[in-house]
Amino acid sequence: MFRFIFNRILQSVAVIFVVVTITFFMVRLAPGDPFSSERRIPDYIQQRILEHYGLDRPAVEQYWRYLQGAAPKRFRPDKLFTDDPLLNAFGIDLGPSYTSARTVNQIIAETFPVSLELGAWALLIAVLFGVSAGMTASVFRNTALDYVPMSVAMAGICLPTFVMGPILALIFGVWLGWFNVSGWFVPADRVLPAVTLGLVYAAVIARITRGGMLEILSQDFIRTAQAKGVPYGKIIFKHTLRGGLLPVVTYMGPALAGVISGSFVVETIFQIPGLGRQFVQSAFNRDYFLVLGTVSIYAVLITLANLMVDIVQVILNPRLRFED
Amino acid sequence: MAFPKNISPDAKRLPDLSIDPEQIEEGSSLWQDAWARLRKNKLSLFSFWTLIVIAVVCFAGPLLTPYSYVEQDLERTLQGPSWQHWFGTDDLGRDQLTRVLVGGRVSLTVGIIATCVSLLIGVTYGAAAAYAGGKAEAVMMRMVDILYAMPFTIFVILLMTIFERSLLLLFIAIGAVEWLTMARIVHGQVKSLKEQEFIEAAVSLGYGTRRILFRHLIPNVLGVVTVYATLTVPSVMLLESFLSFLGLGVQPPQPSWGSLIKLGADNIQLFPHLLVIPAFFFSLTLFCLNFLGDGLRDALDPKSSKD
Repeated sequence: MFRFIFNRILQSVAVIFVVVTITFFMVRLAPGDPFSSERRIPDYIQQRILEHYGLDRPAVEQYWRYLQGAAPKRFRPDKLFTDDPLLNAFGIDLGPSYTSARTVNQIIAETFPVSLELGAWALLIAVLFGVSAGMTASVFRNTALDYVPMSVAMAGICLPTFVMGPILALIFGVWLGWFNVSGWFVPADRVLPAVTLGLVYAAVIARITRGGMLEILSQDFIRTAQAKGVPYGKIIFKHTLRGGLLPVVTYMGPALAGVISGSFVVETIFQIPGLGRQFVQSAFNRDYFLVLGTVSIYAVLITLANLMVDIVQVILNPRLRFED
Repeated sequence: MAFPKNISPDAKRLPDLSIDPEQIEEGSSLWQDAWARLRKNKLSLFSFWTLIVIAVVCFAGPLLTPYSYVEQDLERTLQGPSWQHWFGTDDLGRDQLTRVLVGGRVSLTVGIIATCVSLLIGVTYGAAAAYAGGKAEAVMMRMVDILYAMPFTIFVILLMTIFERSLLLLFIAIGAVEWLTMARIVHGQVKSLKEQEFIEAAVSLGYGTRRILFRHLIPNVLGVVTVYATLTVPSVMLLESFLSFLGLGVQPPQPSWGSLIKLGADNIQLFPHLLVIPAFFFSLTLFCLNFLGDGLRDALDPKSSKD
């Protein structure tokens, strides 16, 4: 099992490395540079700017310098809550931003907590509603308590975030006036974006939970437990839930990746100053280092989530322990 | 509410999948069986006809409206629905009905073509891996696993921002993401079919590779491929609209349902109809495609058939 975890960690590091490399060369080999869209400036000034950012060097050299800056050099957990945690706690320097006076580190330090909070609420909503709806549906199979939540879930899967968000804003923001249509100031501003972002995944998790629970419920040991007179509540919560939730754990990796790409849209709709909106903007502005920085953060997050899912899966499902 | 007495699945409640005995006597093909089963599924059938209506209206409708989707009328911007403009006008005074229809045409076209791209790559790759077997198969499928772990939406966004945006690039970008699932499914199918007795029987009867391939393997994979192609279309349309919503997909003045929804989202405070109408058509199409896909899965999945 330790060999398995070790292998998976190695693989994760490789994936992050590959993502950063592909992104670097994709951004660098593209036509135009970050300053090409701006007002025409004299050539010698252009030259000085390129020199300042190291853009006049060969691509491979730039890549090497970027990697040196971006590689973690230390780990100081006590410095995590400073104004530049990436540099102070990990020794990571993601370079300057071309379109802002701040460094990429500072921009990420400002916007990432916002996105993290939004994502955490969304995932909480997704798991809470998804698992309870899926469990109800599987226990009361083929009754109204199955059909109604599952139809709602189907609707939730079909309606994408960018339809759900504006519609929710229209109903609860404009017509009912319960929430602000956009912004990120008071605690109530968290509700609409988090619900928008979490609903799709709640729907998927509900369907997965239902399927997983039904599969376990049809097995012989459940029948045995029933025959021995174990109370239904105990059968559901003690015997079925652990196995039935396994597919949900597997889904958490893709769900996190989905929440990240959903945040691009949700943060745009509700005008939330988060990392997602920053990423889309930086891609539009060809702000190379900012694009690279955000993509690296996302790559680390997604691979970390996948890694954790794999490890939790092995812990929950002993049968997996003997495979590589 | 009391717990039901028996919580293990009840076999009697399974849907009746049997087909007419008369049809069996005639010797029905896989597709005839599937159609017979699909016809019994009211929701899927309804979805099927709704999709056909939407497609016909989107492709033929713009020819019938008296406006073009680029024609601006700056004196009549942001109007509500009226007899001249059934769905009102947008921020540049363009007829919203025409734009919704043309947008649908663009979204559907992207959905179908990008699905074909992903089908082509996915089926070839998956089948090739399964046929190759051994080390080559292991390496090929491991590559798919690794690609699966990549944050692909991010790469698609990067592709669309960095390079000159065009429909062709959009097809390539979306097709490149969606083929992975198809490759996995086809690989699994072909691999398990190869091992089955009827293939062994065909081999021992002395049939040639071509006959086995085209009479026995392909028809069996085709059903599953059709199902997943139907389910890929909505996910492609979702990705396209997602990109168009962010302003990275279909470029103006060309409308797409995603960019129309974006315009509506920007104006919800004052002009909710700009959001509601394209959102309704887009959601309806996605619903129908998903229900049709589900129905097709029930109708075409060889495991659910009685014989």
